[in-house]
Amino acid sequence: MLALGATACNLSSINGSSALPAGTVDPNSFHTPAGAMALYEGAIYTFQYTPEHLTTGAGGTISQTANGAFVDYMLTSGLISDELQAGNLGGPPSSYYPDGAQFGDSLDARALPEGVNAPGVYLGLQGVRAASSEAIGALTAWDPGSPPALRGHLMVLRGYAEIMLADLFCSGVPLSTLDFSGDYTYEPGSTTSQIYRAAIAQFDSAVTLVGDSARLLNLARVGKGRALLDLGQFASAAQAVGAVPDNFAYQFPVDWSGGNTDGKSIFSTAVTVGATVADQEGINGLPFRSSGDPRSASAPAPTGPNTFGQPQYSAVKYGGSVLGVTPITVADGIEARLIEAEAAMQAGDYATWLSKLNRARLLAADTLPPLTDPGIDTARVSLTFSERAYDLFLTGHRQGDLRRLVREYHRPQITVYPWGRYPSAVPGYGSNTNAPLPRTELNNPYFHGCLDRGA
Amino acid sequence: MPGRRFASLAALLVTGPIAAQTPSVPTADTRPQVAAVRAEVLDRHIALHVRGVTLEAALDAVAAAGHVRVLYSPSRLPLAQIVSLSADSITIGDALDTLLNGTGVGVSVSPEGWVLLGETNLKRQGLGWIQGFLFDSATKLPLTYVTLTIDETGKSGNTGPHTDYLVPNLRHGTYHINARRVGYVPQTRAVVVDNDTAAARLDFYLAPQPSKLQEVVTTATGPERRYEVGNDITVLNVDSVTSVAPIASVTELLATRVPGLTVQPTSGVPGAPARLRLRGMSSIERSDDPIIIVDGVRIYYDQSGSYNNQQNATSGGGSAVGTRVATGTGLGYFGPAALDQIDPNSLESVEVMKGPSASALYGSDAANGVIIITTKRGRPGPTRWNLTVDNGFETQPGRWPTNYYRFGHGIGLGSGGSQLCSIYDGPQTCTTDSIVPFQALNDTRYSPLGTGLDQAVSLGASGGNGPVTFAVSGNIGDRNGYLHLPSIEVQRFDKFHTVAAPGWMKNPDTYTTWGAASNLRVLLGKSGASLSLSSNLYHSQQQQSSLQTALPILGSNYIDTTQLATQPLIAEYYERARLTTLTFTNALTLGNWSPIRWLPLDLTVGLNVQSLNNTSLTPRGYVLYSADSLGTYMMNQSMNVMETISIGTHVQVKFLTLATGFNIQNQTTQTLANSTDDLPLGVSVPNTFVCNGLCGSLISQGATTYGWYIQPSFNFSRRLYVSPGFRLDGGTASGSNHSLTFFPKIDVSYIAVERTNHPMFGFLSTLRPRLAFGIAGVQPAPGDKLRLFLPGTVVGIDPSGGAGTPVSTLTLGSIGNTRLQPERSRELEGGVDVDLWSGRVSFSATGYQKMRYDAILDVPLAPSAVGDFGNDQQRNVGTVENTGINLQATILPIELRAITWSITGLFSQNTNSVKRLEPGQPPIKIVGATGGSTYYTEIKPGFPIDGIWARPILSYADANHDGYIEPGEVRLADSAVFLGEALPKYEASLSTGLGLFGNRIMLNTAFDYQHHLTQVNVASPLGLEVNQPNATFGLEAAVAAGGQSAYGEIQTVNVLRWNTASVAYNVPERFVRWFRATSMSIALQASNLALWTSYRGKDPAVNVFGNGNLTADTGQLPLPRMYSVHFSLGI
Repeated sequence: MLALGATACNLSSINGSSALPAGTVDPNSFHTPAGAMALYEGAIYTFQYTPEHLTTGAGGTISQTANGAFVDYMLTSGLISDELQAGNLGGPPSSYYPDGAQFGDSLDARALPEGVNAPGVYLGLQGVRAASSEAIGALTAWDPGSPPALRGHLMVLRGYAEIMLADLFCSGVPLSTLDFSGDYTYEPGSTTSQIYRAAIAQFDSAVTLVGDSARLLNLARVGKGRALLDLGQFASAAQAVGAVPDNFAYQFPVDWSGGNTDGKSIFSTAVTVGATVADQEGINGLPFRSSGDPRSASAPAPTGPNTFGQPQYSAVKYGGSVLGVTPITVADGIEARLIEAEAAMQAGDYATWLSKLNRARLLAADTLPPLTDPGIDTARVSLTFSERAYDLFLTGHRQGDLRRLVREYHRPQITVYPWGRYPSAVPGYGSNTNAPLPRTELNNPYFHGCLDRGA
Repeated sequence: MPGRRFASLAALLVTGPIAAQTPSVPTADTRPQVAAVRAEVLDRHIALHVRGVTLEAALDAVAAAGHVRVLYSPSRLPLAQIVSLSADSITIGDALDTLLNGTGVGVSVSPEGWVLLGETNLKRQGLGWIQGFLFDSATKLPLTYVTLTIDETGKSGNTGPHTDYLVPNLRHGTYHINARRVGYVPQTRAVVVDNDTAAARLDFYLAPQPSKLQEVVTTATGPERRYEVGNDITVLNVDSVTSVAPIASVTELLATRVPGLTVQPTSGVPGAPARLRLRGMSSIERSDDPIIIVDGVRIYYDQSGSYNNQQNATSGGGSAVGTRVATGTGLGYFGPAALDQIDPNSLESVEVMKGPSASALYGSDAANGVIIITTKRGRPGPTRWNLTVDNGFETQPGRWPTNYYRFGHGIGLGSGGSQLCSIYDGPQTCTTDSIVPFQALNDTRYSPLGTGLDQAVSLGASGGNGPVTFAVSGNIGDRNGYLHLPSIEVQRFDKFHTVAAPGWMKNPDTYTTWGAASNLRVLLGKSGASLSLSSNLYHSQQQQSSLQTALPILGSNYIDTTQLATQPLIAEYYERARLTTLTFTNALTLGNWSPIRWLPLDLTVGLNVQSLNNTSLTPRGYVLYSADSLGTYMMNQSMNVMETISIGTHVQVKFLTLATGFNIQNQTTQTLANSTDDLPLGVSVPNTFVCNGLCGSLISQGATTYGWYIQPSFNFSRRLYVSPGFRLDGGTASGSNHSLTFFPKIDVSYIAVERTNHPMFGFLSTLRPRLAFGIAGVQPAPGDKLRLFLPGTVVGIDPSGGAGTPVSTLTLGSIGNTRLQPERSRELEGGVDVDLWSGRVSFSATGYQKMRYDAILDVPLAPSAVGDFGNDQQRNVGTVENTGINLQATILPIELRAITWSITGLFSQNTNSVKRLEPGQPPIKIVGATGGSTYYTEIKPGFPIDGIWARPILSYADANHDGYIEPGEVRLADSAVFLGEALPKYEASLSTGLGLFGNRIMLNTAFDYQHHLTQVNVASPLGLEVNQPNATFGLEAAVAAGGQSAYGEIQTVNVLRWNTASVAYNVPERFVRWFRATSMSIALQASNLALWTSYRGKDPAVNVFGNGNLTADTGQLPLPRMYSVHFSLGI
């Protein structure tokens, strides 16, 4: 009878919201300023990387160790360009890779026809867009009095995510939207240029909101300059970053001793899978290791060579063989100076060009000697992009730069990207300059594949 | 007021107060046919000394002294009256006459020798009376709750808890009284009331019958006569079934006895559950399970859920188990169904409503049908005991085809090492010496298939005293499956460990149960109100081992005996899974309670609690890891709670009966999961080990559904019955912003012919066309509509908080779907019921069309909208149609005193197809959990939702000329094709019973046929006779392609199974009395006696869950062949 009494008591709360999946809480309880702030923090977390994201459920805490979108992008763009080489070479045949190649190999070798598996970073970057939209909606609806800079911050991150989508993937990425008060709205694929312009619009909107936050303002400025550079609007790009000081840096610290094996393999020592710092990869690659340039310094991984007998190297800037906390730079004054340098080169102002390059070089590593003008345009272009490669080593810029060399400077991709024989089951380097989109995007009825696989 | 009038009529007819009648002088029984029995019983001398005791105690003393059963309705006797009688020798008749003097109650004797006490010869000027008792003709036990109708007056009523009746104030003449009750053949008998015998005696002996038109059925609005309901409802009287067939579970009770019901067993492991599908499948992804109601309380039943009923499986985890035989299936083990925990011996009846047209008023989740279970009730009178004992054994149902292996030198075995290799082992693994035939399952030394012993005992008691009746029962059972550790492995274990192998390794499949059920009912005064408390508690412990999943590959795990010392023990890689389940159901019902005189209410409050405790242990292998670890351990504890409150009323106004009510069901599930590798030695309690692997968390989920229904039922000339109605249904599953859903229904029943005594055209006794239409729904899963967030804490990165500062975060969990609607199932069914030759032939035919609108599916989303958050969404994707027919026929070719022969046939046909998908929704693939992506279901217009698809083999060739077709030599099509449905296109069953010598000996048997059943034989190497030197390339190609496509392993077959056979002997009453018993029978029973099919696997009926409705035969144990001795004793 006691049980029956309890029954009646419980049933008196029939409109309660106990009907929720594991680890979740009634969403209505988050419709508060604190909930909006937590969504804001969650969106930042989505963009960044943390090895220890603790999800608290009803009965305890679960450790999440997934890559953030930015770190995923660093890895992926490093592989498809000449910064990194895949560490897991070969494996059993699969339906995706009948020849036994693995995804890392295929990405590294740019053997990425549509239909093969696509980088997971696509999900992460689109996730940044979705999380930012949701948080912006929450701040507006649940905490109207919150500082506008919070929304501006999210817009900037969304803009960066779109730049990275355009840099890495083929033309045709849909910029669908997650609607705060509804479900979602699918959009058809946008061209690469359209995506850069969409990112610029995000930065322009953000600038009006970030107010007196110089840090966020400069982040937006560099982002806009980067996007304008991608569009070939060099003068506008230089103008956008002109006010960014040399000492500006938007960074977030990462503890590489956390649980993410991919991150460890790239940037430290732990395992033999993942990726290694490359050196003159596929003929055209820069000598990141052998040059001795401190900006791309690497250290042998103590775990020894991979299954193909190749030695593994970790980037010193992210700890080398020592696991610990190191910062990752999203944007800084160095990039601003590099943008100005390239704009000056385009304008024929070589003195400014060289000055800006050397300024950036000094900011990146003060032990390096200054550069001299080679006197030939093509060499100036090469020097510009080489300096960008070292100054911005493993910060997710190299892939976009290689595509720009093909797209804006009209260099044949065979002279830009690694090519030739590939040291694994993949027969050789492919001809792709970008990645296809995942097949799950076909669930978007307006999406029908890449619009253009060119750079 | 109409309700008062109805209630008064019932009271007057059935329970009319004796005090209001004219006292009379008791007379002797007037029935000449029982004279001899009467003389024998009433003339029996006894010694009786009672002084100053109640009449009730004195009657008990008479019964005890005379070894007779004295039967009466407590409301008719002044049981509290104090009496005295002292005699050293007095006849029973005289003693009773003395004790009953002045009460107006007379003594009679039934043909069975029972003493019956009731009013007699209550004369009034010009008026007479009819009275009598009601019995089950088979068991001879008294019956309660019998509905009686007098043709001449049109009056009717129910006897309620009484076992007799009294119809007063009748004018002289002939009357026809019809008696009917759930599960019994109705009976109409004539009786004459004249001036000489003003008190006419008319007893009814009703014959049990599983399903008949005139039965009383329990609907959402309360009990109704079946012919008033326009739906096809199957009613099973449990006693009548269990007395002639081996029934170990409710699922066995239902199988082959309910037209339109398909039972899909999961394996032959003791206690393994089965899924029940009524009239096909309708939901693509939501549950197709019917809902189960026990004594008015909905119980937790999620048999198709992949979570709560699945025991843990380590899924290949654990680095130390490189040669572990059961890995990576991801399927785990399926624990017993809540339905099957119920002891069938504790049940009175089971009713099955098959679709929304019948179940609309039950509300949410009733679209898949409703199974209503009523436990046994007590009857007034002396306590009656019933004991059943089953003892038997089970065994594997056949032999297995020979496999062929390469016998060679395995790399890594050392010089001289030999082993059996698969044909696909490359030269780097094994060098071939010869091809050898081998089938471990047929070799007594190697085979784990043996014999298991089964025992079950059930003991029940029921009775009543005054206004209180009771029924209690208890049961224990112990089943040991036929799976055993092979003898050679037992020997090896002993050798290596110097101790005997643990019991669970040697006999891994066990299923032990115990339970108790009770019903206590109290009449509240003379108003007809009653309070009933029904409780049952069932406990089961099921143990399984992964040895069962190793059967398809067992051969390759044995090597020649000279190498035994170098091979790890197979047993030490078996995973042991245990599921302990405790289920408690409690129902408190206040019936026919009238707070206002014209408003009778029925109120039920119920609670169902199911506690599950799953554990699994994969030993690390004592040979390799003797010191550091017990192995991989997983535990999963869950608690499912269902709470029910319902209230309803009936109000009758002439030809209209208005029923309305409200009910609430609340379900809560809490689950705690944990697992660890390297379980430390000495640690065995789940909550105390150190979590080295996955650390789980407490998951809490719940949902409440509620609704209000109203159903006016119109009765036109007692021939045409029209019952429209609707339900407004709501629930919290979709969050707090839900709206009520409207579920309408209407059913029409027309009694075109009803001539029991004088059939039309000489043969047509009953003809009833009927029509029903209804809509019911299935609610979305909890939270499906809502945008959900995952709260968390981020340490150290937040720019606003600064490094090292923990900040709270919210990330998207799922985006929800604000437009998500419940699935709505609309069914139109029509049929006809026919009785010929006064019921010698009964036939029922039903056709239906069931549409499931807004079928819900978990649709993957494009990442451009949501990124990696909630990458799918519950969406209403389309419409599913089921059409079919259900036929049932019962024939009594011979019905003589010495011999009876009955035949019952069932036929069900169902066609399932996706009618349409929502605009813009492309066909959807659901990949099976078993076999990876080798087969799957495709949701596509024109095809069934349970279709099995696979990529066909286009060609094959022995390119390397090694004599075998290997995986790389098979070319597959790029896209899959439809190969067939998982449910049979039609099913038929036939059961027949032969009674000899007045049913002294009863022979019964039953067959089941399934036509066009498509099965994925994931364990195909067992059946395809692989590695056979003379196997065709086609056969080899089918096996070789198995890793990429199950095409060659998929078969569409027909299955004929000899389900049951039994021989029962009912001991003659004169011998039974020696044991002071009322009935005794012994039966030899057997089940799964034979299987005729072209299926190459073990048993096509065995179906393990995949995703959604995807199922497969993964090599689980086939259904066992069982033999038992069944003993039944009634006292």
